[in-house]
Amino acid sequence: MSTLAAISALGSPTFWVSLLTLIGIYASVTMLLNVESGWGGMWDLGIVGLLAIGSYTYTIVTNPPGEFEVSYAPGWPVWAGILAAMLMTGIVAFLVGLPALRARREYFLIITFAFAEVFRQLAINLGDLTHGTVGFNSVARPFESFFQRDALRAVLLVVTWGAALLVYALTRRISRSGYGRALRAMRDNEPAALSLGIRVSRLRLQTFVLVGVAIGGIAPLYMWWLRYANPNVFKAQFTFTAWTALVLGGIASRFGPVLGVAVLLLFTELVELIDVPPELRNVHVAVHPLAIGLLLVLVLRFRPEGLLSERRTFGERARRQTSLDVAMAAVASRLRRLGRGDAVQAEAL
Amino acid sequence: MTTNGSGALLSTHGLYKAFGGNVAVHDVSLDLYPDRITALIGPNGAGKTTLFNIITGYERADAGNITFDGQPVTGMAPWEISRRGVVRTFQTPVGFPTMTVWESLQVAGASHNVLTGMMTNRGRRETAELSARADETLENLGLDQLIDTPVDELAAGDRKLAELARQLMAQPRLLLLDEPAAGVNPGAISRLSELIRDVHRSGIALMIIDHNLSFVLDVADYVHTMANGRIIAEGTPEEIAANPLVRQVYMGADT
Ligand SMILES: Nc1ncnc2c1ncn2[C@@H]1O[C@H](COP(=O)(O)OP(=O)(O)OP(=O)(O)O)[C@@H](O)[C@H]1O
Ligand SMILES: [Mg+2]
Repeated sequence: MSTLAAISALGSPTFWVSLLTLIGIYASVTMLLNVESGWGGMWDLGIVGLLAIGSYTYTIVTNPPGEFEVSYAPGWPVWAGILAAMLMTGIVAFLVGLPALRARREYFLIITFAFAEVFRQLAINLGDLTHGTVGFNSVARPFESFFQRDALRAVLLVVTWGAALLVYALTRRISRSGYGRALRAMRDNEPAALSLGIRVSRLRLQTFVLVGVAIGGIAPLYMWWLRYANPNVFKAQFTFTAWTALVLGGIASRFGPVLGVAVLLLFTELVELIDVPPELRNVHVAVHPLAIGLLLVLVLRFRPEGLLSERRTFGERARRQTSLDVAMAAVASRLRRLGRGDAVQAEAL
Repeated sequence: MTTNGSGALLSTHGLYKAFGGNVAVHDVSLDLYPDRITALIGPNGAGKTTLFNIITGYERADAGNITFDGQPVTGMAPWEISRRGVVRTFQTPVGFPTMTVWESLQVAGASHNVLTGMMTNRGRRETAELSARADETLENLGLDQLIDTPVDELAAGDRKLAELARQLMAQPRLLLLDEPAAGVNPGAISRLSELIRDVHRSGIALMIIDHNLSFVLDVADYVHTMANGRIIAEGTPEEIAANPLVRQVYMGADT
């Protein structure tokens, strides 16, 4: 690619539509990873495994019969494919979570990593279902009959960011709810969380499954963007990118995952676009991960908690409410107590 | 000496717990009555915290059983015992270091389940009621100035109080306090006694471990003394203060 080509890539709408779509997908996955790992303290190094389950499920059930040499091709509509992907990832998350969440944090990390690799090997070996290492070179996409190529890309960009917005709304609700606080409480101090009646082990499993189901919903978007599925797509690289973005943006903050993904992917794409003479290609490829490492080191040197931080998300602002709210509730609770005929309390007032 | 059954909120029968060859709790039977503040004293390593751990489900007893409010609770998980109304504080109150005092109080009262947890806090109703309760609790404990302070920036004594406030938010029926006066500066001890009496007056049964004897003998109505895993004496503060055995193993050893 010449310098000219690089510059023209920067100016092309296709490049930006594609990049922004990818950012939307990664942002969704990273926000969900943040619920599990940032707030829940479950260090999941196998997030790509759930994405693989969702992606394959969607691709297999939606591919038209006869297009690939596979034994199962029911050719379901797109919406059914999305539901199937969510259901399947949910079930797999449950089955993986049940044993894995019994392990300590460090082991959980290794187990999830291993499971993701097992899924990849299954994709390679269950050729009858997955078309083996070749995989699928086309994926059913929605709205295909309504739009032309470029327009469809733009539509899918909007759909992707719609989904990302939904995921953000979900994580925002979680962060402000009793559920979200329970997550952070059990991460911070499990004995204390238990002493408040938080059923820690069940909460972990529920969270793992919730994240699984949601990843299953994001997986089809990834397939629409990528338009093919094979075992190479689901290597650990995906997980590491999500984790890097999470740490960069600020683990356990609310908006950090989105910011981290945007910064990281823009940065890596631009590094990618830097034009080098052919004899330096190898060096360029080798420098790529180094550049990401450097970015990470720089951010963490000056902002150890990431670009945004948990503290900023959950600081004083968490308790801001109108004073009317608080006053009304105080009156209500007092009335209720009197209504209960709690003589001791009433006397104490 | 212990009477069985009627009136006792919590009873333990023959609790026994050993760590390897080290017997931490040896045949402990006691009854706890809600109408008096109970204290548990004894030298370091006597087994007091281990007894709390067994009652609240953090350790499993090798033998013996526990009833709370007439129901057997032996071997239940800590969260389950907490939901029944037995709530404890910790000797070393780490709390939730990433949260502010106010936020850590919000953890207790809310629903924690994924679905109900997200639904019940919808809108502001629940949150506002919780806030009011949290504000009231913090005010009662004189912590209102520290409402927005991160828990890990609190001084030791304040941390103890914040822990007490947080556990009160769980609306316990029985509160087990593990050394509430540790780290609290001497001038504030009498206020702590007052607070604890207030808590008891509000209808919460109390059992308190502490090493500060003047505090314990002042605030408690009934005292159990442990040494080497056994209950060696029990009685009113006056009886305990006069008990030669207690003086020997406890006060003698500690002063
Ligand atoms: N988890 C454990 N593993 C091994 N030994 C333990 C454990 N917990 C307590 N012990 C031992 O059990 C004995 C009783 O300890 P415990 O903490 O109950 O004493 P305590 O009365 O609370 O003392 P202190 O006043 O110092 O808090 C001690 O000898 C202690 O070393
Ligand atoms: Mg102790």
